[in-house]
Amino acid sequence: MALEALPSLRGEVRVTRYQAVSANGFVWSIVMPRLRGNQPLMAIDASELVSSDTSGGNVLDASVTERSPGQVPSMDSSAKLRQTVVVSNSTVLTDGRIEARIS
Amino acid sequence: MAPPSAPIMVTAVPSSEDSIVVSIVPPLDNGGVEITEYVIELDAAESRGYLAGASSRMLYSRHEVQIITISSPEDSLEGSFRIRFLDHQASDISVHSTAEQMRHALESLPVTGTVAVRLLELGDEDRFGHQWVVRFLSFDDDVPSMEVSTSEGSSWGAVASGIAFGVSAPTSSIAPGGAFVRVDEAAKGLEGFEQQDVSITEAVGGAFKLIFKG
Repeated sequence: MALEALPSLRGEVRVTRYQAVSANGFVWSIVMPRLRGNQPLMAIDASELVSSDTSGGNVLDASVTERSPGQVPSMDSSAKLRQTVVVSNSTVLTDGRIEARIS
Repeated sequence: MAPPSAPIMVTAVPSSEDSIVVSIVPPLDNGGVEITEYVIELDAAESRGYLAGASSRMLYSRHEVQIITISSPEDSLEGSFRIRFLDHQASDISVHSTAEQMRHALESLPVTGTVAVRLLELGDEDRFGHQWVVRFLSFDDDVPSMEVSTSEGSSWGAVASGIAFGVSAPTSSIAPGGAFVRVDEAAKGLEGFEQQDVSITEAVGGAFKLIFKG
């Protein structure tokens, strides 16, 4: 919910939480289904987190890593289509937009 | 004369099973010449593109999609085959299984979770058979491929042909180029989507903030 409030994520994320394998903590795996292409890493501000150990033995760690970069469509499959929309009275709407049905 | 700038906005909305309506807000700068045409390129995505005949595996599927194809040069195919998934084997599956029967067979395995299955007739004019399109709803990521086999003792793999498939004599071998069953990965779960991991370790309390400037 917190992430979905970010306009830059366009209203949808998919989050799965795992137990961290090598240390005491969690990993949240975040998928961004509405975005296309490689995205910048999220930044994390962990200044208000409290470490589990004040003796300096276990060091608090907060990080973001890219599990898989987003890809843009290759546009090269055998199903690719290419259509030309001619600007004319039948495609220009009253508000100036061009609109066409593609099939 | 310079190239026009990019359109201010482009939207595409499905309008029927096989068409979309594309709407373009023209660019502010037309480069000095009136724009008379827009060229729109489309390509397939998700498993539907694969089913429509796209040559490569598709991006942007929320779940793994695998397709089991049964294909024969004869239209009187009989027999059964076996499926193995993550080292668990389903009971023998008839070549005439419905989508519901296939779903039940796969979900009876302890590792499958929930699947959705669609049954499609093979569109090839020279071959007979059908496809079960299996969507793995309980997995969030890539899923190992199912394996198939045609009889007890025969090897497992992505393709199987052989003694369970005889058209007129179900226990005899079939000739090369005869019936086969095959598994293809149509869409790898979540492939193409941006995925990032946030890791917090050795914290007992507090809060953190995430900033995304995509």
